[in-house]
Amino acid sequence: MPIDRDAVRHVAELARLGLDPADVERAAEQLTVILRAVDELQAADIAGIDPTLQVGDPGTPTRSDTVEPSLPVERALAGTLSQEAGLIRVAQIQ
Amino acid sequence: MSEGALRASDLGPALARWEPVIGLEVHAQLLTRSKMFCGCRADYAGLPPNTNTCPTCLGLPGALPVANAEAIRQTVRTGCALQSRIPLHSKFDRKNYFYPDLPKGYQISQYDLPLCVGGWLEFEVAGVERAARITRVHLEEDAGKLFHGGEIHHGGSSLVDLNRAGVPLMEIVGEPDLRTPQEARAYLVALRQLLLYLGVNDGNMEEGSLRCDANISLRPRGDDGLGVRTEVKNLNSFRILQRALEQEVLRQAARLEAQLPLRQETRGWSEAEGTTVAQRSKEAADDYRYFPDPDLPPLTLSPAWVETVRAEVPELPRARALRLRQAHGLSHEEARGLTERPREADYFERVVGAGAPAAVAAAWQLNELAGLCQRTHRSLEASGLTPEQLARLLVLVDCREVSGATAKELLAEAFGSGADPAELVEARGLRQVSDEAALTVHVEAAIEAQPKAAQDYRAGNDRALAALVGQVMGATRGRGDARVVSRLLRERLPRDPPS
Amino acid sequence: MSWLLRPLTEQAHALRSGAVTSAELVEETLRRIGCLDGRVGAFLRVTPEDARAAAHAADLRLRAEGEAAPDLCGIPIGLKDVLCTEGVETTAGSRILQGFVPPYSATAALRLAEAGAVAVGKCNCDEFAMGSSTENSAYQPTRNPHALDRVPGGSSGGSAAAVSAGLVTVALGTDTGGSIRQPAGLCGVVGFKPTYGRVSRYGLIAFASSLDQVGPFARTVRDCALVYRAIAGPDRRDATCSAREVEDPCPQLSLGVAGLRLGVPVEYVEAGLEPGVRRVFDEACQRLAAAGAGIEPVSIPSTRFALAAYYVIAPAEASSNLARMDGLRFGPGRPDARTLREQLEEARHHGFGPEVQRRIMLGTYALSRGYYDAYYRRAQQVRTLVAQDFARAFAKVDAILAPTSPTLAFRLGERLTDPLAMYQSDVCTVPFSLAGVPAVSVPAGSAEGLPVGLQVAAPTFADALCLRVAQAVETACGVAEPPALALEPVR
Repeated sequence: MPIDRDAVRHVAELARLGLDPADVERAAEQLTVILRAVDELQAADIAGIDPTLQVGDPGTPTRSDTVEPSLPVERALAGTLSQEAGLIRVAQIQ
Repeated sequence: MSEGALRASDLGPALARWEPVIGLEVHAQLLTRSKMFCGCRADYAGLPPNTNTCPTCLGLPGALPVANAEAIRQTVRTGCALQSRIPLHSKFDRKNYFYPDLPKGYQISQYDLPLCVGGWLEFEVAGVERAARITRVHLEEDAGKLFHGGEIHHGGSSLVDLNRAGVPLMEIVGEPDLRTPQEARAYLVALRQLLLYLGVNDGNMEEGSLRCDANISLRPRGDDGLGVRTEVKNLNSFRILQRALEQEVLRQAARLEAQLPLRQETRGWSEAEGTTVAQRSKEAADDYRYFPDPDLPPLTLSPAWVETVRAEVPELPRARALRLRQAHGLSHEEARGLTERPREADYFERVVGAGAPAAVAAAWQLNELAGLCQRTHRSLEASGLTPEQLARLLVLVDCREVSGATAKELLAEAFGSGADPAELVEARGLRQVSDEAALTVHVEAAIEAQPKAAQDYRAGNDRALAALVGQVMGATRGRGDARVVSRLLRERLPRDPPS
Repeated sequence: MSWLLRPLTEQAHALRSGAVTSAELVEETLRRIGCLDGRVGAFLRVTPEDARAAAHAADLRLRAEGEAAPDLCGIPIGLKDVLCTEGVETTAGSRILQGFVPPYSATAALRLAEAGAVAVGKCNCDEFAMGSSTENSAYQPTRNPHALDRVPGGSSGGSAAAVSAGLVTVALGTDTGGSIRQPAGLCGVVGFKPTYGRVSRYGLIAFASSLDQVGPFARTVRDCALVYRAIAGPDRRDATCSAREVEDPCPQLSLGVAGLRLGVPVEYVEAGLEPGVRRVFDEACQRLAAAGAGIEPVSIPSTRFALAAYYVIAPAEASSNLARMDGLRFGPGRPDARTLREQLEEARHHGFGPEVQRRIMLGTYALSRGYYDAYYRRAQQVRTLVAQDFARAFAKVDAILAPTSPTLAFRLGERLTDPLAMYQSDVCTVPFSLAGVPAVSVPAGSAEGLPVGLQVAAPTFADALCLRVAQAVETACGVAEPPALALEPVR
C-alpha cells in the first residue's frame, strides 16, 4: 500500500519529527517501497491465531511495594537542557 | 452569548425541558508506599522538586518498569467492593503522546483488558437510594506536575516537577447513569467514602490525590438518544462539581434552545467567573496508538488470589450504618454521621464496646467531639482520647455521677492533652452529689439564705427557682445534681394556693 | 602472538599463574587500540584511566582469590554503546544522546564489572541498534578487520570488530533481529544471542523491547559461554527477565553432537545464498554429520513472512521507545526554540539519523488508528505462527543449523541507498529473534578471504545445548584465524 504525503506529514507530526517538504517527499517514496514489501504479511493465514503478547516465560511480572532510594536531584537533572530551582524548564506549550 | 455565570434560577426551567446525561471519571492515587513501576516514594507531598525520581520514573534511556503488586491488589479490592467482574487476564498498554509532564513520551495504562469490568456504586440522593453503573476500573501511572511561568497561551516557559510521575493512579469510569448535578455530587461523595473505607485513597481533593472529570450532555426529556458531550475537567471539590454541572446544564440548554450548535469539547472550571470555560483542546482527536507494553508481562490472576483480595473488603459504609442502626437503635442521620469516616465508626464501636450506652455515645461523638475536632483542628485519633477513656466518662454522665457541663469541660481539657477525663473526675472530686440527704442540707440552707426568692417562687414565679438552685450549686461547688436540687427545692416550696 | 588474540581461557590461566597481569593486558589492549582502531573504528570512546584502575583492582583480587576469582577477572572487555555505563558517556551511536552520561549502569555491564572484568571503552554501533552494517552510526563507520573496505555487519559492528581485531578479549553486543550474530559471522568471531529473557535488559537503551537481548562476542565458543554465564540470570529490575535458574553451559560444552538430530530449514537454503556462503555451510554440515550428528531437513513455512513481521514489530516498539528522546532532560536540545513543539521537532529531526527517522515513521504508522490491525496486530499473529513452526521443528530435531548471513561482508556504502537491500541482510537471523529462541553464530570457514558464519539455534532456555552444538561446529571447522592486520606504531 503506498503512503501519501499527507499520511507522512500526519505520522511525522505524531512522532514530533520536524520534516521539511523535501523530507516528506523522500519519506513518502521510501516508506512506500518498504510498506509494499511489508504487505507480504497480508498473505499470511492467521485465522484463529492469537497475537504474541509475551515471549519467553512470564518473567517476574510484579514487585513488592518497597521504597528504594531516589536519585539525588543533581544527578536526576544532570543532562537537563534548562532548569530553574530544581525544576525542568521547557519552552512555551502551544 | 454572555460568558458570565448563568443564573441558578434558570436551572428549573432548563431541567424541565432537558434531561442531563452525566458520567464521572475519577482518578484516585493509591495508598501504596512506592510508585507504580519503581521504588520511589508514592507520597511526594512536601518534597523539593525532582528529588523523588529514579531512572525509571525519569524515563531515562535503558530504564524499565516493574509493576507494583500492592497497587494491583488495591485496584482489585476496589473492583470487588464495586461488584465488578475481575477478569483473570489483564495487561498494561502504552498510551503514546507528547507532553512535558510525561517523561517517556507515553503513559503506561490499561486499554482493552482492565483489571475490573462493570459493577455499580450505591449511593443516596435526597433520601432516595440510587445505584449507578461502573464501566471499568483500571490502573495507570500518574504524570509529573507542570507549572506555568505565566499562562499557558502567552509567552513564558513551563516548569516540570517529576516527583509525582509514576505514582499509581486508579481510574474509575462510571457509566453516564447520573441525571442531575446533585446526583453526580452524591455519587462522588459516596465513591470517595468507599475509597476511604477500602484504605486505597486518602480522599484529598484539594491536594489532587482524588480527581474528578465529568462528561455531560443534554437530551430532550422523553428522548433516549445522546446529545453532544462536553468534558469538564479538574473539578476538585464537591461544590465545584455540582456548580460546574449546573452551569453546563444552563449553557448547553441555552444553546440548544437557541438552536446553536454544540461542539464536543473540553472545558474547565473558572472560580473567578463562576462558570465553565473552554480549554484549548490538547490535540484534536489524539491518536494514542495504544499497544501492549512489551516491558510488562501480561498479568494472570488466580481465582484463589482474587478471593483473598475480596476478603479484604471491609464492611462498607451503608452496610455498617444499617448494622449500627439495627444494633443500637440509632437514627438514620446518627448512623450516617458516625459512619462517614471508617476510623470514626471504629471509634464509636469501641466506645460502645467499652460499656458506654449507644445513644449517649452517638450524641456525644457527633456533637461534642466533632466540635472539639473542628475547633482544635485535630482528628479523633490525634486527640489522644481513647475510646475506653471516653466510655468511662460517658458512663458517669449516664449515671448522673457527673454533670453534663462538667463532662464537657473535662473533655475539652483532655482533648489533645492525653489526660483521662474519668480520672480527672476522681482526682478533683468532681462527682456530682446526688445524695438527697446531703443535698437537703444545702437546699434548706439556701431557702433560709434567700427568703425572698423562696417566697417569689411560692407565689408562682418560676424563674425565682434559679437563684435558689444557683445558691445550692455554689454551696456544693457546682457538684450538685441540678435535677435533684430542683426537685428538692420544689418539694419544700409548695405553690401558694391562688387567692 | 599478542595475548589479546588468545582465548579468554588462556588469558585467565595466565593471570592466575602470574604469567601476565591484568595491568599488562590492559596496556596491551590500549596499545593495540592505538595502533589499529584508527583504521577499524570499533570504539566510540576509550576510558584508559577507568580501565587501569579496574585492572589494578583485578590484580589485587587475583592475588587474593587465585583460582577462586571469577573467570572474567582482569579480562579486557568492550561494551556496545547502547549499554548504559554510569559516569561514562553513552550515545547509542546517535547524536541525540551526545553528552548523555547515565547515572546508572546496565545490569549486564555491572555483572561483568562485579566479576572483575575491565571495561576498556564503548563500542560503535548502528544508531539505536538499527542497521546491519554499523554505517548508520552518527559518529563513524566501523570497518571489517578482515577487509577494511567492507562492513563488519551490524548493529553491533563495533563489538564484533573489536574482538575480531584483538582489541579486547570479549565484548558485549545486543541482538534484536540479528545484530550480534550477523556481525559475528561477517567478522569471523563467535556471537551469541541468548533466549529472550535470559539476560536482563535493564540499562539497555531499548530498540525493540520484545526482541532485544544482550549477548557476548568472543573468539571461541568456550569464551562466549563464560561471558554468557556471568551475565545471564534473574534481575528484578527487568520484568521480562526470566526468574528461571541459569543452566551452566560449561560442563556439557564438549559433549559433541554424536547422536543429536540437527535440522536445516529448507526455506533458508532456498533463500538465495551467495555461492561462497552456500559452500561453507554445506561443508560444515558434512563435518557435523561426520562427527556423528544426524542432519535432516525441517520446514519453517512462516519464514516467508518473518522479515515483514519483524519490520513492523521492531519499528513499532522503537517508535514508542524513542519518544523519550526529546532533548529536554538529556542530550543536546534546542534552548532557543520558541515553543515546546519546535523544541521537540528540531531536537528529534536533527538528532535522529535518516534510518531511525524512517523506522519511527514506519512504526508510528503501523500503530496508528486504522492500521493497527492490518500491521501491528497481524505481525504479532505471524510471530505466533513463527514460534509454532519452531516448536514443531524442535519436536523433531534437537537443534537447527542455518547460515548466518545470505552474503559475505559487503562493501561500505553498497547498500546505503537501498533500505530494503539492507533489511535483507537479516533474513537468516530474524526468524529466531521472533521466536525468542537462543541462537549463536560460529565461524565455519571463509570464502574469497572473508569469514562465513554458521548459525545454531535451540529451543527456548536450551542455551546450554545451543552452545554445545556451537562448540562441535568449532571443533569440526576450527577456530577462525585472526585478521591479518599489521600493527603500526602510533603516530
